[in-house]
Amino acid sequence: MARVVRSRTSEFFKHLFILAVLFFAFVPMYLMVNISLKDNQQFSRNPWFPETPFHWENYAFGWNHLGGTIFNTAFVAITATALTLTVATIGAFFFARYKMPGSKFLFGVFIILMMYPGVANMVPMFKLITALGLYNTHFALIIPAIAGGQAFNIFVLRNFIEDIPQDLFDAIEIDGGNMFYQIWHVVVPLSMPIIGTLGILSIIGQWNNFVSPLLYLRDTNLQTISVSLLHLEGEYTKNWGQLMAGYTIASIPLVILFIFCMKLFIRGLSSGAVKG
Amino acid sequence: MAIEVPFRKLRYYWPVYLLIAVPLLLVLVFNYHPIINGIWHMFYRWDGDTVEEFVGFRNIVKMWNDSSLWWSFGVVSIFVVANVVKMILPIVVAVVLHHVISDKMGYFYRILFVIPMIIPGMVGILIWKYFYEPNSGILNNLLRILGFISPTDTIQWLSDPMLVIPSLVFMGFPWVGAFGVLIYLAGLQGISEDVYEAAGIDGAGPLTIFFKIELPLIMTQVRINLILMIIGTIQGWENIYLFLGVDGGPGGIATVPGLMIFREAFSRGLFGYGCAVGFVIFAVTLVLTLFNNRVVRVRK
Repeated sequence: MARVVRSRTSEFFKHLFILAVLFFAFVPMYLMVNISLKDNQQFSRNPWFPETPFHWENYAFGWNHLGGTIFNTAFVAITATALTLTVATIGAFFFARYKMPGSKFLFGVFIILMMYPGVANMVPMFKLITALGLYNTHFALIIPAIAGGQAFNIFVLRNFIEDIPQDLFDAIEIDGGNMFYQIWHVVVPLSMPIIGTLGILSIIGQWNNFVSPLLYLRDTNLQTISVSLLHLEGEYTKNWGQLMAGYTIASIPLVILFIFCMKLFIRGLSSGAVKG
Repeated sequence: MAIEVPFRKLRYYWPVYLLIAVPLLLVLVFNYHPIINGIWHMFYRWDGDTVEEFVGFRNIVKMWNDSSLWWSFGVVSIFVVANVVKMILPIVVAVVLHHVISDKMGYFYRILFVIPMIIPGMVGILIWKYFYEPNSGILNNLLRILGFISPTDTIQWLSDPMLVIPSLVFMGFPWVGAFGVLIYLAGLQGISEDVYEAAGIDGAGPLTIFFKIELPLIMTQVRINLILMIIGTIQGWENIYLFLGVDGGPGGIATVPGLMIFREAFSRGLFGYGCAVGFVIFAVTLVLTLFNNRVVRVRK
């Protein structure tokens, strides 16, 4: 009996601890949404708790300033992610299914890049982008993202493809299926969970990308969300409600993505997408 | 099972290399070319445009004598140490979460831990910038409500030289990125029940179990996170740029090496010097990674 009581209290403290950590983790989100519905008077009187009337027009303001930029970001993020994963899956198939002369060396060529700090490349990368005529185009964000994503994605996908039983490939080879047929009909369906997880990670990465659009894009109508938010913050510091509505709008697409892919997301992260 | 292709069969198998052609071309052009180009231009006076003059080791001598560069590495070391300390809480959270008996609640908590992470990074930073705002920011507001400062007082979190770096360190409290928590949790769930039963029979307390069983078993994940964190911190400069602008706060006190590259190259036009600083960051990262691989060994 005593043991049950003890484990119940310890269970209680575990929950208390987790909830306390979660409370602090949620404070920024809560305040963002809360302030987004206030005008400046309500804000300076009471920034902590919701208060009527709600100022939904803050969201109209936010959408007017960020709507276009959200489409730009979505276009860049989705294009870059789709191409990154297509190229990386084919590359990972090469390393997982064949031991060619030089395979090890080539694998090293990719893996070493995971250790290379991208910031050291800031200047030469900028020069390369201008030299290739990509400056002030969305390609300046997409193409480097595809290249930069190869090391990590090939590394993770290779582990998964190696675990696919050889029989499945043999069966297809007997049927006369070539390599791309094998990739499309065996590798892609069986690796879908990990491809999904990697896709989500890549989209989040692109959504948060700040340095490339800051350096490579000049026109406001091409700009992506991070830099646009920075401009918004710089210009309209005084109206906190409008600002926070803008921040909320910028977060909504990722929230929607999360709701639809929650299972994939949590399973992917928990199943050790990053293996030792 | 991979298909082994020896040299003499290459005549039939060479098209397999085409699979790797596109990714290889991409990394050669967009990763390796800039790396080599950067190392090359380390020895040049270069404004990124018309001026391009070989200067030998002048940039390197300049770095050696540049007190602000040394300072920036000092600042980034503070952030690395702080981030090591910040890794403790996610580990503790993962262990506690692992010990929650109800599976349903465990899953529910895991979802809740992911939600703050899906707030875009830029939004998170800007919200924290608002927290630190001296007049209407939430932190000073809280301190006024609690009576720690008088209603007219303001604390200049981001312009008082004494407070800038502590403010940057505290940003993002409670520092539980879902990545860390979920990855540790995955490691912990690999521990079989037998191990716990054996430990229970031996009368091991929770602390013994944590240090002797759980921590060694998630050491792989801890090590990966440590490496990623160190690389990330040394190259990171966006937070500081967004919080303090290109100058890095009062007197440049919070300048980190990455911010220095950005400032030297894109506001002062010293592209060659920017490349040189970039190379130093690379060298430091490399040394630390090798050191980390040696010291933080995985016990199996």
